Amino acid sequence: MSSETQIVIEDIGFHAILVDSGRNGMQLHGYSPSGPMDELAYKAADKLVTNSRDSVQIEFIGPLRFRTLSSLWVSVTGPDVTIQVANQYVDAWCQLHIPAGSLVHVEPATMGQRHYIAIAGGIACEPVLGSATSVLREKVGGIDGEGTALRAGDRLNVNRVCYSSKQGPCEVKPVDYSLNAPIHVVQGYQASTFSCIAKRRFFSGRYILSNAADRMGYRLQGEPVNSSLNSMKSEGIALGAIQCPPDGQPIIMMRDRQTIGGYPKIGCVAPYDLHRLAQMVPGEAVTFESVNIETARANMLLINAGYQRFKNEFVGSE
Amino acid sequence: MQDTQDVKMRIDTAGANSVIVYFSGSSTLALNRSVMSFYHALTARQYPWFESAVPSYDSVLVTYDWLQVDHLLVRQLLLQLSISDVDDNSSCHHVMKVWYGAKGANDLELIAQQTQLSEAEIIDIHCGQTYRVFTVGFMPGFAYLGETPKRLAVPRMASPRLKVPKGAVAIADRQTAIYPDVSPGGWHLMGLCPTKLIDDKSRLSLLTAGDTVAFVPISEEEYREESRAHVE
Repeated sequence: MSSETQIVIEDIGFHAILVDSGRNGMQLHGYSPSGPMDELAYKAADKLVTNSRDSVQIEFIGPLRFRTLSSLWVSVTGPDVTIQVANQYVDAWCQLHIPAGSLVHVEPATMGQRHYIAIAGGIACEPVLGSATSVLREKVGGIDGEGTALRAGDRLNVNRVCYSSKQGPCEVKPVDYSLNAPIHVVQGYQASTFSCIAKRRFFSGRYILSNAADRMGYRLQGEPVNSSLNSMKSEGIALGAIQCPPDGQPIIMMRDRQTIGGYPKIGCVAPYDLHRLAQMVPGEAVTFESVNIETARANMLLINAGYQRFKNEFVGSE
Repeated sequence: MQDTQDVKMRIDTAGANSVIVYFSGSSTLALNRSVMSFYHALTARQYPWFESAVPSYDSVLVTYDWLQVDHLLVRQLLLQLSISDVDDNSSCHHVMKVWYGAKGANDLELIAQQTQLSEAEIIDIHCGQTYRVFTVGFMPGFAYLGETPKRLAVPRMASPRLKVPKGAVAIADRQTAIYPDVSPGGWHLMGLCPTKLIDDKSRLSLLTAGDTVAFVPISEEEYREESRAHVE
């Protein structure tokens, strides 16, 4: 597949990196699996431009402006956002045709939330250890292969694709990011070392996202939750694991987490609620609810069936 | 193998789509060998539901596709996993050169105060045995080596450093390690190692779980020569 420079980054509000589905299988060497913080938005963006499941996209915080050098099919997903293409307002969560030479301005409604831009064909970027996802801390991924974030002036190549606009859905139902419903947690790891009172505090408490929130982990502020353990051997940390360090302030381990760690954990956020957590901004509050593992799986299957059913209804037969 | 006889395995839930397999028993070495045998047997089996496995000292975190299987089936299959008793043949032995007492990476005096050993004794003891790589984590290429003798054990520093130099050789509790790159760190430092712990081209870790490591002292001059050679 040949590629030529097709978009130029004009301006980045806060932070922008290249992401794909993640760097799996390298934990043995100390590399985190990484991947998109809001996986639902990332996957939907790909579906909308009919990319394979693994395409390289831009994940960004804050406004983003870029210019297209040739005409492209693009999608923008994430929470509430305003998108202008050459001063005309267009929608998120749908397939967009951007003419050559257009200036695209994406302005999230809430500062701090993450959005995704997928381009039909996928952004061309050499993978490092199987993935193009940028992890600066580990010096892997991104355009330079060393994890550097995107900067104004960067030129991104897009893989060529024979594109038919009739393929795939033109719209996808936007995801619900409301924090009203509690975040589901499946207890695990060192859950048995947390007293009944500690668990009651955690599952009835209101936790605020602190400023110490990044792709490695989200530090929460609220009722302290402590395990009876003084120390433990380091062990593998699953995505969404809830670590409780000595100060009792829970940390939710996110995509760029360390592969292993030695703080007690009460369990993990259910994967189907990770997107809501990922889109929290400092100052927002969240509550947690304990669900047993069978219930969590049943919920996941129902949600999955819901999405599949929607896609079939909208697209019609293959 | 004789030393795996008293190793027991149990499986706990980690999260909605992860279980963690723990090994318990009297010998740290036997536990870790069981961990790596289990890890290799699992990854070789290539179950269609298998997503990832993260081995550590005495555990393996297994993440699976919960659309395909539930935790009960995964637990059953993991318990039944046939593990070969043969040592993994791909493990390597590494001899790592250390400029002990290097400027900027020297807590030998602090270690001496806490262990009641002289600096020379500390270095002799550190070089005096072969270590096993128990696990790699914290950052790419950071290998946890053990076990150091009890008399060399010092806790982590009360105030961690914001920046530990690249190549710093460090100890904490019954472990020793080399920092692959500049990083925050709370371990006591003993010297500098000129060898790259992450391969430039492949980006893979030089040291992986199951490997063995021995340290050998070198002079400052040799350290500088080796460092230059690696850059060229």
